[in-house]
Amino acid sequence: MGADKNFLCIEPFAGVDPAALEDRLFDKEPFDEWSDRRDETVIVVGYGDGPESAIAALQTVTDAVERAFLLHVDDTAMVGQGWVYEHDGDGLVERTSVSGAETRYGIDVVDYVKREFDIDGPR
Amino acid sequence: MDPDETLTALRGDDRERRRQAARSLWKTSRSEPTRLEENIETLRAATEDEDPLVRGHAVATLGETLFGVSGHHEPVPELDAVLARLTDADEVVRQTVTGLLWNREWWLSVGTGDDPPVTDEQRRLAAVGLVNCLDDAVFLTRKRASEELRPSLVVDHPDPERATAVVAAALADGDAGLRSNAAELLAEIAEREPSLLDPHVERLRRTMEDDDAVRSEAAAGLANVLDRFPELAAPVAAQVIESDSAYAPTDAWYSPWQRQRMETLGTVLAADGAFEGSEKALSVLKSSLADRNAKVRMASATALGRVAASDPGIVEPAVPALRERLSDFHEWTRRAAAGALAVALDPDDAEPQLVTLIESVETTDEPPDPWLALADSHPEYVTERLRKLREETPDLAYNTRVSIAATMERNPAAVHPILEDCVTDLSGDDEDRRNGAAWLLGEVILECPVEGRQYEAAVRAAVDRPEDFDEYPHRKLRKALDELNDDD
Repeated sequence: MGADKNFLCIEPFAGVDPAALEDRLFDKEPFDEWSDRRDETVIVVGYGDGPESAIAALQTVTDAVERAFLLHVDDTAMVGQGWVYEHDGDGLVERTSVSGAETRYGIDVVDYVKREFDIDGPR
Repeated sequence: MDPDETLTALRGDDRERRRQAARSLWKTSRSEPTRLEENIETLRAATEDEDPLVRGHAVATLGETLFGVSGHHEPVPELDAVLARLTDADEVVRQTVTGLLWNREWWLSVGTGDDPPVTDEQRRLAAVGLVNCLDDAVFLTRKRASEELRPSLVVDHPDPERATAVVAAALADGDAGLRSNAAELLAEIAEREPSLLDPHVERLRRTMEDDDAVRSEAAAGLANVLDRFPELAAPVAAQVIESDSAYAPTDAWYSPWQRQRMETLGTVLAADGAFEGSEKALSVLKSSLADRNAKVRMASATALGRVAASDPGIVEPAVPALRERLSDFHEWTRRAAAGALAVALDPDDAEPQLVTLIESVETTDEPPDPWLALADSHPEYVTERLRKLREETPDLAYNTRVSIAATMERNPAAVHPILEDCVTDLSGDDEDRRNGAAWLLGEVILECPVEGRQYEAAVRAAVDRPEDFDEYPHRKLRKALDELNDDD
């Protein structure tokens, strides 16, 4: 377990069972810490050094994901960075990113994504 | 967008360009804070833009910029504009401001004794805004508000009764964490202004009885109003006593949860020492004096001190256990026990060393460490306490070793017998006692080399037997020997 956390917040396509999507991701690397559902948004959380494994895991469920917000937080430095993906018909494409070089809290990244994309974050 | 254009665009008539500018400013605000600090008024004006996205980005940028300015020594008037957005018409703007208050040094000290420069208007805006957010339609905003609201802000709210009612209504929230925050807030409000809780006592009592997640916080709140609702003493104490097994001793939440239990029992017994179940409540406090967690022992001793201050006779069954805590390895448990005994004991009946302890407690703002308080007048008593401690815990932690060294500085006669025991243990068969002796002897010699010189030969002999010690205690002995040699 590292000091970094990955929070993946997914809006599934209409008709996709959120519980089934949650099962596909939760309790597998890297999302083995906790999971939740808020309305139709699926949230899965895990520890990991860096966001790469989380991004790779997201790519395994592109068939079910309309939009996704990945928040990566370095709990030691208290720095958050984020990526928003949207399905363009072929697969997930990155719509925006918030760089860790900006050294802001994860909560501020969450609220930026909410303002710009109306996607609910984990905290 | 070009950096030089953004601030100009933010003041323009084109909404889409204002949005673009606000977005761009936020995305680079942390890496370009100086430029923003020079244009605070432009940002402040943008927090009142007709467009909620512009307002949201502007208040986020303004808040991060202002909170990022270190060393607030004077009030920051522009923070009014940030706090005012807590009552914004747009839910996402409100959510943004609750996020801005999270874990900011400025906000963390508001409402505490270390208040930063905060104006009365800012305090009012924060109180009104956060109470408003506690009732928000958006869960995340409610949750954050429940974490950020301070009891002092509720008590000083322009309408404290209404504000408390909003907090009480949060006891029905669907989220257990939020309900827990609300119950804890009510308990803290009741400590400051008990009458504010009166209209909500019945609701809190139902919460205590029905809501697994928050019953201990609810009990803590009700404990603060027993003077007006004495019939609650028995059910509150019963709830606390019955809730013993919520966390395992190794769980991170064990200590704060148990300490709250002890504090609540102490409050109840201090208010009424004769309710049905009071003997059981005292018994729980007494047995918690032997808890494996030092802070729980400290909380129990502190609670017993409060009960004794109300009626010393109630605490009499716990006095022997409190005396045992004078040997505790944890300094603040020792102090709490000293404080409790000072109130519980009758000086006319107590042994001479405890009379001295009572007198020393009465002359200080907080109870002293009994080892230091008694080292001059009753060194043999202190030696006895230290010997008992070493019997129970041969391997003492760093802070305890430092306390013993401080006692040595106060009166070497109290500690030399312990160091002689350590010398014996250095050659003994028990590995734990050898290592513990090495740690303690080494630590005291490093702090008190003059007094420690008489042990040089024993230390040197131990250093020559590295196979008899673990690496770090052996290293401590080597450092002590070096200290003695440097002093030559």
